[in-house]
Amino acid sequence: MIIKQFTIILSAILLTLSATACGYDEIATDSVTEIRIAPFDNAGELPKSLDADGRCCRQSLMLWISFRLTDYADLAHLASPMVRMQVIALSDFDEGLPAGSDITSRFMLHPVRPEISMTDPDTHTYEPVRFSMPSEQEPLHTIYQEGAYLMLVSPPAEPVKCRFTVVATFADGTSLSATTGEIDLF
Amino acid sequence: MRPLPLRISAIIIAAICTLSSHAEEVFAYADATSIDLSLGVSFNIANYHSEDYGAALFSGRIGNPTLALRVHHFFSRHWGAYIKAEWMQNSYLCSQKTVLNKLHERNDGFDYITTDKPKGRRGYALLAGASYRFDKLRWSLRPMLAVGFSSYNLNRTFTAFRKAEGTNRLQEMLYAIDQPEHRNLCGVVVSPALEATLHVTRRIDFFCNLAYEYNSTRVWQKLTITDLTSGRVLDSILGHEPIGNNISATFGVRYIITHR
Repeated sequence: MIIKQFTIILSAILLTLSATACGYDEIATDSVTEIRIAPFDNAGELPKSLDADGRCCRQSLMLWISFRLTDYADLAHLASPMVRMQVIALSDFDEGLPAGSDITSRFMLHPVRPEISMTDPDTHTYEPVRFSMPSEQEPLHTIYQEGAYLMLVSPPAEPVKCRFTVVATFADGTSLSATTGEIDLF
Repeated sequence: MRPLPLRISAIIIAAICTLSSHAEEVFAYADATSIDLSLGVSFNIANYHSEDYGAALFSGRIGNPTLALRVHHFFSRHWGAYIKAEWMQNSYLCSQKTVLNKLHERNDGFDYITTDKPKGRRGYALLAGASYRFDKLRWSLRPMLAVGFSSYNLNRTFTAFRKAEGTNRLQEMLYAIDQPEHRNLCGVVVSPALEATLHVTRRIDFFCNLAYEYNSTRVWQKLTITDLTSGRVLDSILGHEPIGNNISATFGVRYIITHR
């Protein structure tokens, strides 16, 4: 009798544990609903959000591009892969680069996540960034909400005040964009 | 390391007191054979004051777990010999926070960024040694000296970055062990130690062992610094450094197999 009761109780516990056990969550297929852009000053070890006056040394401008997905997940397979991402200068940027020029080549992807988003506080290490610049030949199929960090590595020769627009284009022809406020690159 | 919960500590103390209360004889056996198992922590003390890029980046002082199994035989009242097998981790390629602090202190115009988490690399050591026994009623003190060899399995590569202050100019620092044919690095180990033993029963002792391990293993390494903007290799440093010596503290239990 006791053994039978024990067996029933044990079975109930095992069934409960099995029911509540989390299985492997497959990555959902999703779409990017919004992209966001935030300028940072990357002069020091840790990037700093630009002050209200939007002034930044042109040697150390960094743009953080993040993505919002439909289900607010951290990552997703894109229903329509991203095939292009451009940075457009809305004002005259440099000699030979008037307003409306594509200045993507003046930027470089930061290989690690700077302090902005996530760092292991115990080890003070930085996680690798999980983003690569997409192209028609190599579109981006999986996207992480944290996005990408673009560092301006070829700054203009002279100080300039400029606004930047990031445009993300997808395989189905749609595009999303985000624009910064005016940044004084001194 | 978190302190043991109060209940577990109370149980351990009660067990020791219970076992000890049953021990009435003097533990003055002439010769004995025992098998010892111990667990503890070892600290790598390598390159603590080093100024080199490689040593500063890739050395640390984090404690790592150590497990040891020893067969110990005493030939006489005082003298004995033992064979010890050790499993441990070395802090080589560890302690990023310590590394970053060292590099920031250099004040060389760069901000340092690392991407790899601390790594303790596992190693094995086999030692043979001699010991001397100072026996008292309930405890004994045993200085020891052992010699042997060790083998470590190290990471081949490690990537860090540094950024010129005030700019976005990022440089990649690729560290690689320059011994592709040697996956495991072997070296000679010399280890003096001091052990304090508590005689619990006629066959069981508890002991605490404090040891210093000198390790002759040297690691040949290459550090390549590349400017990520231009793709140009700025510097390539080739050198070698010792894997580092350890200080270990272990606690263990001994079972005396035979004695007379």
